Amino acid sequence: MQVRRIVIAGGGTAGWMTAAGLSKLLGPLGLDICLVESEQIGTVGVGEATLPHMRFFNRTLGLDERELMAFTNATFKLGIEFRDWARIGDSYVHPFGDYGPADQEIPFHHVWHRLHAEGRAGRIDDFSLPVRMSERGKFDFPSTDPDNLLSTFSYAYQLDASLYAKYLRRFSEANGVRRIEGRIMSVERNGDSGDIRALALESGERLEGELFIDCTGFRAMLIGKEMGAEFDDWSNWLPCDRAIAVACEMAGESVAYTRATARPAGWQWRIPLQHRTGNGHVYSSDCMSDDEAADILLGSLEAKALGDPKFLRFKAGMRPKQWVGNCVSIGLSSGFLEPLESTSIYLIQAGITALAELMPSGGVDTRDIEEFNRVMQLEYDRIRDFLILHYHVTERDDSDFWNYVRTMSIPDSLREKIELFRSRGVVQEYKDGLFLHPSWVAVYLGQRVMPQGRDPRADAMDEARLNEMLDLPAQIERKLDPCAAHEDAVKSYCKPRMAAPS
Amino acid sequence: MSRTVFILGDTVEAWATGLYVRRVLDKLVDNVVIAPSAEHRTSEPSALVAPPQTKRFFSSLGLTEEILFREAGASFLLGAEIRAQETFTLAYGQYGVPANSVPFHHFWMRMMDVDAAAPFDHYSFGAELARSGRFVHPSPDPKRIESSFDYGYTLEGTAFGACLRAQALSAGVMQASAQDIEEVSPWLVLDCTGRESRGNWVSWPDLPESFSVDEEVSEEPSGNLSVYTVQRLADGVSICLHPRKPTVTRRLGISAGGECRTGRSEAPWRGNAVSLGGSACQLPGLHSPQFLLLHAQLDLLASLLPAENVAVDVVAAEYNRRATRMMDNVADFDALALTSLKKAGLWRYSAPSLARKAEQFVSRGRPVTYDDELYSEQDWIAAFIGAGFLPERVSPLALAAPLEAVERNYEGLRRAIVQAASRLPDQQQYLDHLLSIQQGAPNAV
Repeated sequence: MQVRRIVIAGGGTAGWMTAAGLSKLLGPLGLDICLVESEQIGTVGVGEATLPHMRFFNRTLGLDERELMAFTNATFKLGIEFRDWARIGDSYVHPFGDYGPADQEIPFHHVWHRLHAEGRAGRIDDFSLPVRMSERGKFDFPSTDPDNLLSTFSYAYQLDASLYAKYLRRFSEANGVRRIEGRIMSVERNGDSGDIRALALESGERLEGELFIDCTGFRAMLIGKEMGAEFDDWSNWLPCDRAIAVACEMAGESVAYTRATARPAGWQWRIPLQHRTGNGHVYSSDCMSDDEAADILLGSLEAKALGDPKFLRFKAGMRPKQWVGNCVSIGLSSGFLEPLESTSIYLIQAGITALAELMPSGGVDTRDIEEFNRVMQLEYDRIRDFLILHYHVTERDDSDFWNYVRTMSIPDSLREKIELFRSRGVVQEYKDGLFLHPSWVAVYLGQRVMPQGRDPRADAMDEARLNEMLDLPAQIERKLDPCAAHEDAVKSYCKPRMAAPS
Repeated sequence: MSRTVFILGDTVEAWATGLYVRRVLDKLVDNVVIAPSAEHRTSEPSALVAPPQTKRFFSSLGLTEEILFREAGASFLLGAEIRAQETFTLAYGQYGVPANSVPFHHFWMRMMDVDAAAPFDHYSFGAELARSGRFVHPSPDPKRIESSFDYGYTLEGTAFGACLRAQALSAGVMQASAQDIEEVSPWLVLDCTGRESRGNWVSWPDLPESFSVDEEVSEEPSGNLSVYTVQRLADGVSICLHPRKPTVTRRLGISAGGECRTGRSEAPWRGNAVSLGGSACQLPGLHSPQFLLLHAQLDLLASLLPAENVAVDVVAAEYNRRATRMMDNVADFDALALTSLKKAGLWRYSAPSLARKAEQFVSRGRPVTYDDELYSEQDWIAAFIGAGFLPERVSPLALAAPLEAVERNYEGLRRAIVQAASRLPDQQQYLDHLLSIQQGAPNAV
């Protein structure tokens, strides 16, 4: 059946990103897109911290960055600081950018490995412009000149995800998306094909369509409950299954990075926006009670809490079949890999992109379904390995949780990656997947996986070139000296939209 | 222990490898020794194809365009002319231009549906240049149509072999006998004999079990220098290559019982020995991926060279994982090329990787590529269309654009291509001009 009407079930970040993306990308098709959501049902509001890919999504939509940042009270994000992950007292930044100079004959970390072993170089962080920019509390925009050191990084945002959804709702409605307020009471199926025919709302209204997109979050009302898509449980590798979130007043200056501090049974996030700081504690319920987790979170806030803590339950994993029949899941209904590396919004974006590319031109075709599911499985698998790495390569033995993750069996795909890096400093490369070379280097080295050997070409590098490399930290500092403080950069670029909301 | 690299074989690949090791890994090795022997000698092709990707390889070898022209009989190569039921030019570079992020071939399919499209390769500037036998170097200005193509070289086999050998010896590569090898413990052995390496040999289900070079004829130069032609014969394939001289016609037998067993090594790196080129992989090679593969294998090897205190097994496993994937991807491309000479569009592939590619392309024109691909998405799109695989559906976004505007835009592009190409010199003229400059007597072009 020709797809003419698309029904998006659920608002929130996933729903409105999907509505915005499809209405923009598929606008010329004149499709009828409607989104049904209920104000009575809260949204998780995933992803206060984001990844640089989001900028490309926003650019595709034609959004004004200043306006968007002002509306969502956003700050810039240059990376994530990890505290206490390998050992208590450790700290490193996973930057959105490279280590080393703009032009590299071989991956820079091999050169650093040599210089470090010879006692000529300290932290690899000093060779990364985005790390130092984060640490010095500064910000400037990347350069498009590949010879400029400022071309060696990218940036994302720390924003209020619920306001981002509101912003996209405004965009989507202006783009022709119909919003329907209502609760979904039942799902009508086609008896022969099993496809969804319509959603029946509490009001009695029926929403018919040819394609249904499940953005109902963890409830997975369509893809899970109705279409029966199974869920692959990955909680044996990613055992955190609870989160508590609470915002607090600003304390001190806002910084251009998210902080992830390891805790006895998980970790705690700190995300500074323009007007408040988002905080959350992610933990394993097998190793810690909710009360204890809440005490840890509330006891470590830097300033007064804004409202009551919000408790979330989840299970790490994904649905291998995220498109079944005429139902596609996007967002938490398709899977969740916990918020550690801010991948939720990226996975929404990946789903929208794949769906737009595979949007049926006639009826739904099984070949499109298989391709969509293959692409999304690859995304999830590779992110999964990267997340497990953070937990597994630790020396911590101070709690049951860390003893478990340190000693658990891990996927073969990750075991091979770690073995390769540990022995020879090689980062296993792939074409499709979110986290690339520098990200893996950041976490390996940040969590004390020091390679036994290195690329022999680093040992053959001549002294003049090595001296150029050794001068890099000074060049970076000189480059950063005139950059504005992050907070000033945000203020001058985009003033906040509103006073701190309750 | 001294780090001595032994390279086995007296092949173009062996000398290229020796030169690569000396140029790129010079400080890491003490000695590079090539050990040719009668046992290792294979017949060398009279002409070779170097696709655009190998320009970086030649650069790392220190082989400038000037050297290739002066010493290796090089001509510029713009692609292949596939002579099947219809003739198709598989050019290096872009076909059409995308609109609103929708690739060109979707719009082309839409025009095809209303009989308003010229052949696909008429929307490629590189293909137009190739057909007309003209050439200039690509423009660096991305806004110009003359920037939308790429080029490689066709090389005269014997001359190129001699050039590589001279360059390698000059760079410090030494020669030894096979007996010498037995007396010294090498750090690394690189098998470039061109013969199937020992160990398990994996065949590809979509390629013939074996092939043979039944005949190779060198004649006075004739035909279009800018392309090599591939044509189906009753029992094989004819490939005609055009270095500046001579014109070389090679007849490949692709029926059972050929002297070369098609396939690849299951593990090209074992212990301290690595099989490269033809020792690691035997393909009918309609698009002559020899240098493409060798370059990729050497770069991969360089990035995984054994380090002090590191078990070789770890890097060898990674090399084998990636190198075999590269070879499998190239084999898929070769299988598709063979298909193009058969009845178009009726092929079913057995290799899951190629089957998925074909299925997705036929389904909706979606190019699927994997890790460690040596051919680009554009290469695959052109190869599929050239082979007669046409998408059953096009992007709905291509359908949304007004047909009249689509036709007008792409007809404009086609005319612009023809006009721009018509202003350019014939390749032979261009080559004469370049050669005269090299010799200090420039001619106007």
